[in-house]
Amino acid sequence: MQASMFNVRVPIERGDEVFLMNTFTDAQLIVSRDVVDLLDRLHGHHEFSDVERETIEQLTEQGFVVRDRAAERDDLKAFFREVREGTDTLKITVLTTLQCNFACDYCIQGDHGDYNKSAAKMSLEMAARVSGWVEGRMDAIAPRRLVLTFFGGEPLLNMPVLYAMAERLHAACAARGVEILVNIITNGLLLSREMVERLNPLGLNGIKITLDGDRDAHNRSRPLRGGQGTFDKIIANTRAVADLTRIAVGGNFEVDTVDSYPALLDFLAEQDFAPKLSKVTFKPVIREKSAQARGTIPLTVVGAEGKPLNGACMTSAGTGVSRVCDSCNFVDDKMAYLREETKKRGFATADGVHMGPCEIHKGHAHTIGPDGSLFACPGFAGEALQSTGHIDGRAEDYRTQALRNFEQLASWEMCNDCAFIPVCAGGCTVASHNELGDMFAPNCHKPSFEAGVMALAREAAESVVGSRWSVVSSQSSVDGARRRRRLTKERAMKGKKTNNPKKNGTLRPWLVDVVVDNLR
Amino acid sequence: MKITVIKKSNGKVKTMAACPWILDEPPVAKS
Repeated sequence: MQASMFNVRVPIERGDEVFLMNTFTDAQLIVSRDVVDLLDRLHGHHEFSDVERETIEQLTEQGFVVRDRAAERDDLKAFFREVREGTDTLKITVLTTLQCNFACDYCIQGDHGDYNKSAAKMSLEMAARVSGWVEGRMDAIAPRRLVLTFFGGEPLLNMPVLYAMAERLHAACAARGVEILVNIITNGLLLSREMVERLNPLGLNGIKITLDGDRDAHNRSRPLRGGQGTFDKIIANTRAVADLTRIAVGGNFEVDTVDSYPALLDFLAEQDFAPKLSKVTFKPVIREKSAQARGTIPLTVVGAEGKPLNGACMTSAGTGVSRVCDSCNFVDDKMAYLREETKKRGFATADGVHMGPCEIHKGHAHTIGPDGSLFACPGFAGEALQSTGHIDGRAEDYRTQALRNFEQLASWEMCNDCAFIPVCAGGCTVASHNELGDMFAPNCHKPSFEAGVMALAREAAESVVGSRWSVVSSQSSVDGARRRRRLTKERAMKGKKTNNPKKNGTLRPWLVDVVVDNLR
Repeated sequence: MKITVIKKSNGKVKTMAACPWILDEPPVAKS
């Protein structure tokens, strides 16, 4: 019997109590310090008072006490196996087109110069074949639910395909007794009431739009191809449909735009549709110092003919221009800051703790490109060699190999005994692939998780006592952040590319030395 | 020894429906 490796703890100032969370069971408690002391002396201890035994029983029920470490690791492996093999939900993301009417200056898609001449677009004939393939998957795994997400490029530039697939798969789900949820991730420019009214009976669940800061910042960052601003039109469209469907707002912040987000949040909070916004979440765009000036971005990999190899609208995960994984903690700090600013205005947002495992770890989650190619997640749709298959079942060695690679993804196994493994799963594989040159390596945002846990602790404390409590950020957390910055800097000086630790038997120190003891 | 339950164990932590790092989650599912 011992304390779970997935326990995290945050001391609460005043009251001598501690917030406890188990990232594996999702249980959250506020306990007195003697309970924490009991957890600390469990291992190898066998004699307890009646009160202690009763407390241990309660802690065991919530997952804070486990039989032993080996059993817990087995449970973790079983959890990831269930995630991979689970058939409850079939998740399909369809890239209706890789064309886009925006010219976001951080976009990796690489077709700004040729105005979509080489960006692929799904045909109606292919849409029918893709729908047939999805029906086949439903018959094979009998899911309870189909989550169908339309994405791109800009998915609304190919409405015939979007409507055709939504209509056919809605009927297919009805015939099979499968629930269907249709999502659209769009820049919002072409969003209309008519469109939402047509899609609502087909299972429209919600729409995600993007606003990159306040009006000025957004218009600089996400202009039309002709350079015109898009903020006002997106807001008008959002207002037009807000009573018909749920709207989630996303945004991509950078060093020079992050300060404009509070103004955006103030603006949104003043809008009549504010109560209708289901979620507001921002994510980072990080430019490398070597990135060229705006308007002359090399963007994504370009093939021999000079055409971009295309890719999904991955606004923060490109090669050379934008990066999701930073080396200066800017991301972690600012994400925590923006989460708090968002919550202050009363909007639902990501809590910063529940970040995974994402769809790439799920065997029954597929991204389908305009040509019918299958990918493990939209982040890899820009690389033909990362295709895991094709809806026509064609057997090609590179796709077979890619599928094998994705099935073996388990970067979390290199995260040692990090308490955040169940909610992180080793981080974003796309970021590891693009930035570390190794999709099998984990990428760590532990400070962001810690900030998220501290926010949960604060909310929990406030909910219990109804007043503002503060949580203690201990010295070891600060030391950990300093150590990580130093090691990351050292790593950067040795060169950005890293080898697969699985292959050479080594682990980068900053990846194994991230356990923050004060939170255990 | 005092324990206040803020959130009970779900057995296992909920997994993400989509990508939280880059794409963001679509709106919360209805059911």
